[in-house]
Amino acid sequence: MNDTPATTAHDPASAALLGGVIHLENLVVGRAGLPLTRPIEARFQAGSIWQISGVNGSGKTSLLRVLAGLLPAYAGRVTQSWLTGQPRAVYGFDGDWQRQVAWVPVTPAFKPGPTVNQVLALSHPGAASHGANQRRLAEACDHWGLAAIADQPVQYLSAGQRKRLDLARLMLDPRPVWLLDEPTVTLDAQARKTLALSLDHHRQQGGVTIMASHDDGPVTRDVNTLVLDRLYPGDIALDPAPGPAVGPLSAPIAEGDETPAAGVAS
Amino acid sequence: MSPSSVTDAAPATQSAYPIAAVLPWWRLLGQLLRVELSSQWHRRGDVITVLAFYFLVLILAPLGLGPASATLRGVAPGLVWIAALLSVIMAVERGIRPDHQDGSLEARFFTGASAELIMAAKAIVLVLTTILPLILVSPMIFAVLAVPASAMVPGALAILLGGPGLVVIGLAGAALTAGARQGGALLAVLLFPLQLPVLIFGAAALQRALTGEPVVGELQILAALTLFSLPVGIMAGAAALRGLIRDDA
Repeated sequence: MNDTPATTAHDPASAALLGGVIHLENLVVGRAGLPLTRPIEARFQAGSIWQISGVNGSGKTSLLRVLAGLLPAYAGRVTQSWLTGQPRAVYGFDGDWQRQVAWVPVTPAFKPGPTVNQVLALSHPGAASHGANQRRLAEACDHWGLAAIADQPVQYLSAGQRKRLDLARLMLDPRPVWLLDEPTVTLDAQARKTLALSLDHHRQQGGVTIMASHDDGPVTRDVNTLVLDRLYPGDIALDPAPGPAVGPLSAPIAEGDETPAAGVAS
Repeated sequence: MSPSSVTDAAPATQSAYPIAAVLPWWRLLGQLLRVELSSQWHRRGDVITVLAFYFLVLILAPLGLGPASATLRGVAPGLVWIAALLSVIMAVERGIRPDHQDGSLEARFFTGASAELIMAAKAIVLVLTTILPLILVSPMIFAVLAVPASAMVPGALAILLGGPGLVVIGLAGAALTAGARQGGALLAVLLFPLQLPVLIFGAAALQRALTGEPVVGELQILAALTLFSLPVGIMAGAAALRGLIRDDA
């Protein structure tokens, strides 16, 4: 189905042609030399939002790190077709790929000192003195409710405000692939709505969002779920199609995959 | 140039979402330098601490050793270079470990830069914030240590030529030990033998300048050491950096 020139808008193959697709080919995520998951087979299409869930330590963050090219796969591989339209392996600190990725870790990486405005200006690739850039900066501030604290040094922000600042940077440095690690943690209801709006907008533009989350409900509509289940060592289940909003995470998404962990090629 | 313009490498892509332009290395380096310099500016206390350490060690020398010019002149070469070496070790540790701990090191990879470029940017900024101030205060330091004016220029030149080598070797070591819990002590032990040649020839240059002998040979060796350290240190440091990021999954 890879190269079929499909005409219907809902066919996954056509989505693959429109943007890129990230393909997890029997990917096993490991950490410290040990596998954490069973082989994962998944395709993250352009214009979709994926929520990765699973118990603590099930490899959500490690999976995101593999997708970002920060961590090598334990087995299997990840390919992406964003750059040239052709599948290309995501492997080991590929700068061209990492340039396409917006990376939002659980704990925002801010150093004490700069103000909210300065952080935003620095995350902006263009020159911040430019008028248009100033406007975009102000827009991002407004959108994420940071305008009132724009001149405060980041070390005085609350955890939620820091998170909002980190997410506001997504608006200033457009990247097609968003990898968000627990984006809703510490966000209040208002900020969650803002996040949902941002995710929807990103999806409409043809970007892809992959986020690790413990939330019971999806943060917005039409979120695909990928569950990393650690109850049966590394038991993986996929929700194949972008369906309606998923229910609670305990919903039986795994279908009859009761066979004990099939040999992970190590 | 707009950041969201499609790269030349992929004109045929039917990308709905414009992919971010893959920047040439010099623009990436510029971006990294901007981030690095701003982070140094906001931590200027650290920079000043390192400089104050260097300054204090050398200002205290006449107080501890007595004001006799001959004594001071005798120990000046060794003292200046030992203080410079220790300052650089202090500086390089602050150059990697905090960035690694708060996650801004891994964030830097998402500019699209290679680990080598990240190390190079760090080296450039550290040379600017560590070695340059050492050179700027050296006239004062040399005066305090009773070094005659004729030896000041060769002495400062030796720091200028050898200093970048110290920084690059130091950064590679700092990247290697940033993941270790007792990295500071480990770093000092690791770096001393590697930085020893620079220390020896740097001190020798000043020693010979004091006795009025030509120092060209020593300066050439210092330049050679730095030229050798630059690629080796940046490659080794980049490899250490990648290992560092890979390991803290």
